[in-house]
Amino acid sequence: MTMSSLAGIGIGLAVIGAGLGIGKIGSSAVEGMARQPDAASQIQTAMIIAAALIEGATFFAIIMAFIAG
Amino acid sequence: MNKDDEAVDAHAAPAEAAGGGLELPRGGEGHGVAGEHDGHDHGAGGHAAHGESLGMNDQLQANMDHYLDIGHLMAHVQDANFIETPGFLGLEYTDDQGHVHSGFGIPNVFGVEQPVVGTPEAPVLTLRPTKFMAIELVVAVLMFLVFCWLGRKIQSGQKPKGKVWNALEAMIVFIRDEVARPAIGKKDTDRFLPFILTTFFFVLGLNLFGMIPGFGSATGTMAVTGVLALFVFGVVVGSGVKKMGFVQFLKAQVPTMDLPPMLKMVLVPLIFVIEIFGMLVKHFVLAVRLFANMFAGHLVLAIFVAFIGVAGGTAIVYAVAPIAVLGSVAFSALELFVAFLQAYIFAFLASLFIGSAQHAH
Amino acid sequence: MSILTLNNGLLLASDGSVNPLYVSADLALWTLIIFGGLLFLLGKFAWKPIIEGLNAREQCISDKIDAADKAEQQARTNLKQYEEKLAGAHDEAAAVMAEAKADANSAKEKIVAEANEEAIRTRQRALGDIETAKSEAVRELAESSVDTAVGLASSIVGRALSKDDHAKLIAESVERFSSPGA
Repeated sequence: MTMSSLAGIGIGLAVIGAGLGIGKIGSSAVEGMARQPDAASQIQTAMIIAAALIEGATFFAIIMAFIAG
Repeated sequence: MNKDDEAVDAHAAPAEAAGGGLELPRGGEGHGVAGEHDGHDHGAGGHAAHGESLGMNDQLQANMDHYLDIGHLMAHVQDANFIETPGFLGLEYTDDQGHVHSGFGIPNVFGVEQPVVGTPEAPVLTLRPTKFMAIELVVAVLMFLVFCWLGRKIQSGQKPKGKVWNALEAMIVFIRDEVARPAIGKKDTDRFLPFILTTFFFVLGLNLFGMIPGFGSATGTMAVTGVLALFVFGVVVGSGVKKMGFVQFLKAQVPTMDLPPMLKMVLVPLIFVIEIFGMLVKHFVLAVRLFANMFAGHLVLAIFVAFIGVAGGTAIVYAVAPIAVLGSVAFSALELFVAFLQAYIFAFLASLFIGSAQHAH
Repeated sequence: MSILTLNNGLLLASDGSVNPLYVSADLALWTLIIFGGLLFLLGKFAWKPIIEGLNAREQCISDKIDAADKAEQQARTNLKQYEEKLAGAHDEAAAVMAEAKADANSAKEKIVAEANEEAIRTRQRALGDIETAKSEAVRELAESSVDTAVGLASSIVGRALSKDDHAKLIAESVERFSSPGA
């Protein structure tokens, strides 16, 4: 197996993790908003921050995979 | 450009102004299969000419090697010295290698022929205008005109009238009330609002310009997003230092902890290093996020349209082409949403970083 | 090579043709100039009037809302006062009405009582008159009958009776007349 295909697998794994994480955040946020529509804007802010943090880690992983691959 | 090339062009033009006549970028020539082609005449027509000797699978494979080549796809997404235009407009641009493209060349207004830094083989700074530079200039001039006009209108104290006025004002007030104020606090917001608004509308303008077929998104390059993130970093550090003083600002990066002195001696420098590294990574990722979202979105669009080229010269092109066009239209709608979303997230995170620099950890 | 095969060329190309992470110094420098200039110009000519204008408008709106609140409060107090006044006027009218009714009642009773009294008085007077007239008539009848009787007796007896005889005869006659009625 070449280095580049390993990097490809790495990118795939990173995206799976990020997808699960952001999906969980999204589902929880929507649930929370449905339960407490008054707090919707605060929940949305927190959701975006959390999703951005996960996204950041994912991009970091993808770029490291690019560089290593 | 030969006749068959134009036939493929006509399919591709509505969505991405892609052209069979576009050349394989220089970088692609060093690699594997692409190296077998000799630059100019390897469009779909070239393969179609061999159609009799090739089976359909071989034809598809050959098309795939050309149209799904990473270098070819990248050429539509990356910066270039010309703006791609549909073939029927009859515009032509001849690049440095003598290849003819269907497009509108950006004039070399600075008149610099040789790279200022680096060699002609590996240029670093060339001072050659590119399409992204032109787009940035257009966006900047448009923004300047529009917001000066809006400023005069708002200052007149009249009631907001008209779609443009209301739409712009709604966006400005949204950025102020929903993005800047919660992150920075009501007191300091007005000081940073010009920066956040400029960032938001500049990113939005570049993203939206990317939606015009042939132009490409300038925010899909690390150079642009990197500089924007650098500006954010400068404002974050600058405002923090101005507010607390340099030493105090560095100290504020370490959260206050109740620890025994011995443990503190070890932990505080460690956390300081981690926090500083984290701060750099935060801003780096800010640049990467915008770049990756725009770049990936436009690459997917290019791939959608490239499927037409892949099917070109075979019978399935009549089934593939409508699906590819519909798919790229649908994906363009998503990209339109992403253009707004990413501008919002960029402005949101920028104000969040600025806000956190105003207060101790 | 297709997009599906990632390769080292992604980062190795130095001219930026197939490297998505490639940072073009030209574009970076240009972005720096354009964005910096835009920030400066917009901050000076556009954002200042926009932000100030929006703040001024907000202030104006909030002032107007305050004024409207105040006016509403004022209207409420006025309404309350008028309602109180209206209620007072109602009570007064009822009192006036009741008084008038009472007055009318008493006047009616007075008139009825007076009329009754008058009627009784008139009846009594009438009765008195009747009694007087009756006794007068009886007396006159007695007198005239005595005179007649005296005349008759004189003519029969042929002599005039004395004054004492007349009186004696009248008294006997009256006695006679009145005794069956008594």
